[in-house]
Amino acid sequence: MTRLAGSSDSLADILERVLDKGVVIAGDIGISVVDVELLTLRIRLFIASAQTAREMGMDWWTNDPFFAPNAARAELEEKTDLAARVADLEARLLEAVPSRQEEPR
Amino acid sequence: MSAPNWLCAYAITRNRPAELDLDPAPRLIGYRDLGVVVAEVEPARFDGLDSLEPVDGTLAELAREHDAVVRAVFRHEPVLPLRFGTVLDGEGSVRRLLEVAYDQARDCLDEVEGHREWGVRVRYAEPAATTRPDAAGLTGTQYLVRRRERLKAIQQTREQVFRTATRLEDVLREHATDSAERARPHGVLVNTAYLVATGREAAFHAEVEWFARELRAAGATVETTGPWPPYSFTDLELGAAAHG
Repeated sequence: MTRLAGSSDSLADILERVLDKGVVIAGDIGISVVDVELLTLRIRLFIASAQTAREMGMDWWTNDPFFAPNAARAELEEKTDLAARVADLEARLLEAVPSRQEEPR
Repeated sequence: MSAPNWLCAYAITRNRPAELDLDPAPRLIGYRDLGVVVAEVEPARFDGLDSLEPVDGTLAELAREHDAVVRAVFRHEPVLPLRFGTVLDGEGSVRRLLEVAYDQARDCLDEVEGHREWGVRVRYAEPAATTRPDAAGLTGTQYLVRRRERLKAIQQTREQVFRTATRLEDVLREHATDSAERARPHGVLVNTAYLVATGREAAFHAEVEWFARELRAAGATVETTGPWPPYSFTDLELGAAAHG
């Protein structure tokens, strides 16, 4: 196909917008859209592209409520929270320890 | 029954023909002062998406093509990008779409006119709190003191980066007409799209630059993408309101 005059924006950014955004046409206004294909298009795209996309670091849908309601974000927050708590506890523990006599390494 | 004439619809725009630098050139189907940019398409082109290689396969090609058409129109006129893969069965359907959704589409087009979308992303890969200082030659106490200092430094930097990123978002929102938060994968603190009036772009970018310096100094990176057609600000279901 013809190379279309493009932009320097990455494929991930383009996909994120083109596949996920934009005006949609309501199903009930009597305009015949290629509906069977389109209804499942997004999901099929997702499944087909998930693997490679993840390798490219484009895992935006893992936080997308459409694909992963609640799950991903909650998990991420939990992890961040846990990491912070571990660091905090560790720091407190370390503060307590140096009062002891020097110990052999 | 004759075979339908499938049209891939890319964007809603003003009903003003423009020279699009594309081959084959899409065409404009107008209704009153609005138009839809379409091109004949074989729906079979979308079939190959089942087994695609996203990097350089059918999906990448079709998505870039869609984006290129929307951008080509956007260089001349305001646009409402249509969702990728919108295929209608002929000119009649396209006109009917504009007829049914005319007010809705025109209002939205008026809102985004004179604006462009910019993406701002702040990444911050925190140094792992689990890495331990090199214990060689240190007493146990020295080791633990170093370890504590390191954890403290990591925490202070993290807090500073978070504060700066929040300020960046606040300031950018003031320069933008609208903003839309996007999903944030791990390591991404900010991933927001801003709808910026062309007259305010210089101020917007000056702020991004200013904060980027501060964030870079703390180990974070700031990326901007754009200008985009207002993809993130046209979350609209045409026809839905007309029946509501």
